[in-house]
Amino acid sequence: MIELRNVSVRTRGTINPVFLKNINLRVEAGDRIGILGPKDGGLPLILDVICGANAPLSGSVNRTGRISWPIPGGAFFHKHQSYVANARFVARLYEVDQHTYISRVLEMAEVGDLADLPVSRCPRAVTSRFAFALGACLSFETYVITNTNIGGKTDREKYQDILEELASRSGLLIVSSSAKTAEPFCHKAYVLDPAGSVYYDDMEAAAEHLARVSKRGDASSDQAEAEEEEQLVDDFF
Amino acid sequence: MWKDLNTQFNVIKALTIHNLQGQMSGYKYGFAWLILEPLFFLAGFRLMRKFLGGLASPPGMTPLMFYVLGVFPIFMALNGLKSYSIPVARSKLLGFPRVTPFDLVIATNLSTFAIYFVLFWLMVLPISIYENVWPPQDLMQIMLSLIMAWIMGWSLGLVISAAFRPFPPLKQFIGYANFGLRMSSGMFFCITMLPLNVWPYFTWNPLFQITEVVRDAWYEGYVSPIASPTYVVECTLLLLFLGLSVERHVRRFPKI
Repeated sequence: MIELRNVSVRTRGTINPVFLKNINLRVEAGDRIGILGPKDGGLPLILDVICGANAPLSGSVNRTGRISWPIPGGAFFHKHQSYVANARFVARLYEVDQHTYISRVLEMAEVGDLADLPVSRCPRAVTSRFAFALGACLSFETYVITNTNIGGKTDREKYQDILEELASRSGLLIVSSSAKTAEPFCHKAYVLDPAGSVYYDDMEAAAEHLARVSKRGDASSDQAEAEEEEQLVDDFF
Repeated sequence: MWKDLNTQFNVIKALTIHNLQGQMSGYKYGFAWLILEPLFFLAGFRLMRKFLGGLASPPGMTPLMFYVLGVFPIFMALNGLKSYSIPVARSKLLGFPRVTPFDLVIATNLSTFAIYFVLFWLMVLPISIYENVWPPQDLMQIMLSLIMAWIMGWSLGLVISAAFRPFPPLKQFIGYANFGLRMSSGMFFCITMLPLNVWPYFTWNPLFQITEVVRDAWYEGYVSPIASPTYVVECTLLLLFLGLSVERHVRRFPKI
């Protein structure tokens, strides 16, 4: 179970800081739920708080049960090392049998002959499949998913089926700036709004809200750009 | 509780191996540079002494071992000091819910300890045999001093992390402090080389005490008049307590 109560988060040291307040979320074990927010709307901040990578500015976070890391995230890879070596690290971290786990991951990701090549020398699509398989081959109560477009175009259907299978036995938390990503898997969603998080048990309504918030964001960024341009012109003359 | 401790042990083990595998990965010869760094230091000091003060080694000690026994404890401690940024900075590995900043601090420092501990013996064995000062007088005291230097370094790093979060420019000042500690901690001098009236200004420094304890424990012919293993242990425990408390406090705040 993941519960965020009156959480507020803020970016630091950026030109356009993001500040989110009154975030209230509750994800029970086995839930299929989306967290939707506009691009640059603070989704990574909330993701960090959910996974425990960062503390909120205020509010409380309660996490129980096994929660995955953001899948398919591969920022922790040693790029000069092989897929096998990177999978071994995750196996050690999650205390699972290395041999069984690595063979399952390599099979799911269809790595083939690239298994022992450094990650930096392998195609992106394979790395994306591998990053997804690392998480999917472990057992969690809630899988935190940030991208459902795994691998290349031809791989999409297969990995969507795997996601569906994961969702049938565990919870799925899809964090995305696109409602289309979450719609096929989730029945309900929270939309991150500057005023707080809004809960919907209807994905269509959530998508509409997200579209409104995103437009507002685009409009305000357009306005900011126009103001900046005007300022530049003023400065010039 | 035992299950949780076992999990944390396995997490730290995995992170330490991950860290060791990533050391110097951006360089062509990887680990070779790690070995070369202290070697360059030793060679630099040797040259400096040759040009500035002749080649006479301090009374009761041999020239090369004198430097080796001074450099390694300081290297271990000052590398640990760099941990000040870990509890407050964002790390890609913190995306794993079971990894905490404290695990990262311990894993980073365990890998540093492993590297310098192996390097220490790789250098000490041939040099001490060459200079005819093998075996050490008190091996246990040497090992414990190295461990104390290591714990002291990262504990001090954790203490500093509290100030680093609200004041990131602290990084610049830590560079100066690092240099000051290197120079004042007995890397290239021992207490008997200093005039008696300046002794009180040096004996408070626990790092200087560690180098004195290590040299005292190695040589039969050198008895340090100030070396106090008890003082070293007390300082280490105090810094460890402070460091762990600060880490517990700092983890409640958002990262930089």
